[in-house]
Amino acid sequence: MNRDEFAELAVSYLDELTAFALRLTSNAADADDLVQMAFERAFRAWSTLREPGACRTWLFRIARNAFLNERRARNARPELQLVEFDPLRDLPVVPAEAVERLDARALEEALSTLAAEQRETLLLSDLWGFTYDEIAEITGVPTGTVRSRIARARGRIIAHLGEASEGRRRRRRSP
Amino acid sequence: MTCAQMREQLSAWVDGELPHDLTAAVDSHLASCVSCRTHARSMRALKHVIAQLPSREAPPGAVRARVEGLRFRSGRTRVARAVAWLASAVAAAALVWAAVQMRDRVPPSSHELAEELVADHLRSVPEVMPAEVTSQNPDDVRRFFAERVPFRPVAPVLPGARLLGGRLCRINGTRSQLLFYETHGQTLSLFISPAPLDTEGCEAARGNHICGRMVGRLALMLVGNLPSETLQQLLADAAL
Ligand SMILES: [Zn+2]
Repeated sequence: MNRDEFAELAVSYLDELTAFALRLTSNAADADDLVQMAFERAFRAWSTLREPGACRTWLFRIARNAFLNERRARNARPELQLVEFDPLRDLPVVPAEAVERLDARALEEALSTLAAEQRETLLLSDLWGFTYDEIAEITGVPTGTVRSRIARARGRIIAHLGEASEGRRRRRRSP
Repeated sequence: MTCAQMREQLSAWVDGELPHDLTAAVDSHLASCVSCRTHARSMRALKHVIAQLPSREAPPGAVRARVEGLRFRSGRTRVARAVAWLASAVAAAALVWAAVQMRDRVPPSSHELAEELVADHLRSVPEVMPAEVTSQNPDDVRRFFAERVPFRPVAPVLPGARLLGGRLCRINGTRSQLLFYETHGQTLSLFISPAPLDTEGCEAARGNHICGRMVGRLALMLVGNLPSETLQQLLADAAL
């Protein structure tokens, strides 16, 4: 792959990287800066990329690392890690039809209840279609961790939907 | 396999990420267990609804121009013409970029904002820069902005003015709508932002007028080379 071929390929992922950056930063101005920073880095290091097929994964990883470096520089405090209950243990039964009815807003709300790394892993899988191995590459964790994060993210969302519909039912019963 | 062990595997099974032997075990459990089958179906439904969220976002023109510019920075194979064209595109984009940066840092006074919006109007009307959505149909225009702005987008009908299209812009760092209309042989820019702005009334800047009106929680700011009374009347009659 020569530089022109790399450039052509990399720029074709610009819109996806922008959406990913918006998810990471949740702020349009920071996302724009992040996208530029990521592409600047990628264009400096493009010759280390051997395989064109790995380009998309590689760009997502660069963007994510750039974001983490920025955040670390801005905010030196270590992040608080919460020990979460295992949502898979008492998973409520939520029919698929109830999940299919979710509109974008309700889905975003459910996603917002996830821990950041669960949400990120789930979106890399379901929104951008990366495989578990590719997500491991992007996020720098073992594939087993990716598998478990995705399972727990889904369990958490389904548990959230179960609680929400339980809440509605209870409100209906007691006016 | 028990149902509890099953839950661990179901999610990877939905993704086709289980090794063969486990896949077979899950298949046979699902064949005989209604509750795990329901879980599998709801996990798959979840995967489908997430896949329908937007996975792409058009970056602002300035960001695209900068990224495109990286292509040519040290490439020696391109003809000088391409570089020259790009240099001018980047220069134009840098102007927009500078304005955006400035707006992000401090909320500008209403006069500064008026100046900037007029400047944006002058350099982004469709005659100068192609619109991102070109349509006279308010539904098409609204659809373009859905998911791109953090509020329910609108495409007001201005009596006597024809909708041309629009593009994404940012005001005080918030993604906002910029719509174009044509009336009396002039192109008008209508900025629509969810940010609380000091917008009531009209101002003059660079030979243009800008008038503002709050509609619900949205600030509408109409810019053009027409008398301020005309702009104000158009805004007053605007039907969301
Ligand atoms: Zn079971």
